[in-house]
Amino acid sequence: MQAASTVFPLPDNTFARQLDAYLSAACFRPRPENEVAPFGNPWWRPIEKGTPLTADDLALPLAVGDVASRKARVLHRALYNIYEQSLLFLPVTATDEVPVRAGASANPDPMAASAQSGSSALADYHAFYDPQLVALGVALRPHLEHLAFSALAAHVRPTGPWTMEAFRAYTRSVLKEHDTTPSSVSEAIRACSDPVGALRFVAKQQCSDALTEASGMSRYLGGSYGPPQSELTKVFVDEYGFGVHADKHSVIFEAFAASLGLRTDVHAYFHEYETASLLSANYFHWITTNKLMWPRYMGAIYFAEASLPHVNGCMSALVKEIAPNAERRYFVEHVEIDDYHKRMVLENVVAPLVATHGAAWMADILSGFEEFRVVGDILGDALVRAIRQKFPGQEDVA
Amino acid sequence: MNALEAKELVVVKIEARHGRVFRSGRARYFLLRHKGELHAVPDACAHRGGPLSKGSVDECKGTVTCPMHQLKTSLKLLMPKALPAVRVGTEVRVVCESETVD
Repeated sequence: MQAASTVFPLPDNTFARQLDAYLSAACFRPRPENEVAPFGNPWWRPIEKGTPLTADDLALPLAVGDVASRKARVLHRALYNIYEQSLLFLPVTATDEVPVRAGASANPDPMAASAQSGSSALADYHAFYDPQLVALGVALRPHLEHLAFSALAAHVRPTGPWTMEAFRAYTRSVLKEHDTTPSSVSEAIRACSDPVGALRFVAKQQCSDALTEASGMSRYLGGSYGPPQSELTKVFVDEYGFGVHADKHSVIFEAFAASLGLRTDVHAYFHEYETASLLSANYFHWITTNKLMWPRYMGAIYFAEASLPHVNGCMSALVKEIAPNAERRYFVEHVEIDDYHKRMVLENVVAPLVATHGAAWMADILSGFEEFRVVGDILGDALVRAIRQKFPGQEDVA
Repeated sequence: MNALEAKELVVVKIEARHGRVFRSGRARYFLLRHKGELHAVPDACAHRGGPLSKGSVDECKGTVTCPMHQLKTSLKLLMPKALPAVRVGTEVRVVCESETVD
């Protein structure tokens, strides 16, 4: 079974026109007076207007790894906003005061917050959640997903009769290779002309997902599917710090970001997000929004939990080395807890469901596992390219 | 019975192309392209073990013809003997028996 989004092709230029209409909403329009995101306004998500994408542009899916084209930039920003319109971002204050949060006051970031009246932020709040805009986004979503992900789905093709034993052998092999490969992003940061600047750049990219507690991953907590649902919930209980707000992973990420002098209000760096960062977040939104893709989610969440200890171990060592005063708890926490999550997902979620539903799901589980690995590689390559471009080291200059 | 049942398993990486031959344990396998997908199937004709990897595939009839004696083998008979594999772009990883020699 290869579950995928159903595509509803629209005639002529209808889709292009409707996408342009969606992107023309007030909360998505650039404002010359706000080169920097106003504080406490996660709903204003400017997307460069430029020339609208044409019906021809929107006929062909993005190639795997295309995160540099304008088309990719527009499509992934549109999708990201559509997905996040189903998440709640509340105003910090109901007054007209400009909200101020931790990390703002001693902000040495040249991208310092600009002033904006609270009433303008509230206007964006209402515009972002406008039911008609939300409905338009929902209508556009299936074709946008087709454009964004169909090439990736064709890039990864499991075949043959799979068993749980073969799945374990396969994933063990892939993860061993992953865990013995140095992080290319960490190495690029070390080798560049401004390692702390590059670290801040990477942290801004992580803001796209970490500050929202990887909400795309949590869409399967609802519904009713037996003991595996409770087992999956345990993973998220850890992520949410057992209900202790200070221990919530997004909150300890805020401490890391603030220790680098970055803003911690959600989507303060929306305009700086690389398309690859949004691809990574959108991938999980895609497989959790479309419920037939649940087997893919099992594979993807398993790869995520199993690969993160190594990734975060590399980041922890890097931060300790180049920014010793920065807050590292976020990375240390994930090195430890995701090792548990890896086993919990495999033994308590994947294995029982395969035992119940049979090996027919294995192809989709493997697709999710490998697709998210590919997405991670695309993100890593994009960040390395950006670091070398923004902070060229001696080798890059030569 | 699954080809890998009760065996110690390893994963080998090979180029994703039709006809690529590899070993799983002592047996020869090859990648067979059928309906756009690559399947890791035994490289031995049931007749006298001829190299099916060098045979011709008839997509319409769903057969592969052995180059030795021109006997046709149904892909429906080959597929259940396939090894679990995943193609990612230009590379295929196949779950094989241990002591695989690439």
